[in-house]
Amino acid sequence: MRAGARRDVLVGLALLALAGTSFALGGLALGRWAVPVALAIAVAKASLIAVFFLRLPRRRASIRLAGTIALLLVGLLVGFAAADRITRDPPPRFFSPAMSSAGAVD
Amino acid sequence: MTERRAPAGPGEVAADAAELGVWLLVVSEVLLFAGLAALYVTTRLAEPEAFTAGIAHMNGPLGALNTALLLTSSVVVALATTALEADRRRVASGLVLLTLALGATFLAVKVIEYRGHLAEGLGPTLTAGGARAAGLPRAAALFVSLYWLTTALHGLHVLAGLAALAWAALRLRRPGPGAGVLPLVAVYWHFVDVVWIFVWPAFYLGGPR
Repeated sequence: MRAGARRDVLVGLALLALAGTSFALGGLALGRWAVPVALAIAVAKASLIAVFFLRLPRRRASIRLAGTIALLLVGLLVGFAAADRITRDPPPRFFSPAMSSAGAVD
Repeated sequence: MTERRAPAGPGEVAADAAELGVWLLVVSEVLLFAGLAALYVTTRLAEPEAFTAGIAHMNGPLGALNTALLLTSSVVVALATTALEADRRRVASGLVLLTLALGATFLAVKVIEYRGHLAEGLGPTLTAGGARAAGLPRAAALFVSLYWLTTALHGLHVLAGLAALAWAALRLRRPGPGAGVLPLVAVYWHFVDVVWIFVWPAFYLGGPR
């Protein structure tokens, strides 16, 4: 197998292994660590695709800039939206706690 | 003394412009999904139990299958691009067709999933009362609506990607420089895969099994 194809296959196997890990961990009671762990694995998979398949580090500066700005804007939008919720006291809910729970009266 | 680079020919300029154009398209689509991500994060922070209950109603095995299909399709289209760089057009063409098959299978699995959700009464217009009737917390209606919106939007992007892949496959079969569209289509396809990489844990993982 040629070197380029071998690299692609190895990255693919790593991606599938990470996905399998994510699926296995998703069934465990990780509590407050469930979301950070899932997010970390997703970021690892996306990074592999960005580096080896999209070849972002080797692209022209204009394309790397476009990619960086996209990431920045995603981070800002999601980060500030989350911070808005987290920093309110008490945090607002769409439904009152009595209405949210499964045993609530209609 | 600095070397002066020869000015780019019209073909090179056109290729660079096309490449930048595809990346700008991808950036704009990333921003679209970023809005949905922000909506997801704020809603989940407000109603965490409802989201956990909603995730428990998702079809975990089908979600995992779809993830494997899309990841594999990303590998296959990367192999196609590598084959094209080695001037192996027939190999590249075959791999693009395989990518098409994997992507089409992803959509077929999604349709099966959607039919299952509709049979359970968890459709895109689910109300709070409807969520209660389905045995979920009222606030799970938010999760269900977000699920339909996000995955349907992603599905439309997969469909567009399949059309682009079919076009690339046709160009590969003809002699000439038209095969240069494959790396551009591959960029879009990898973006579709990266979006699903984040959609999958958001809507399928972390709930009780």
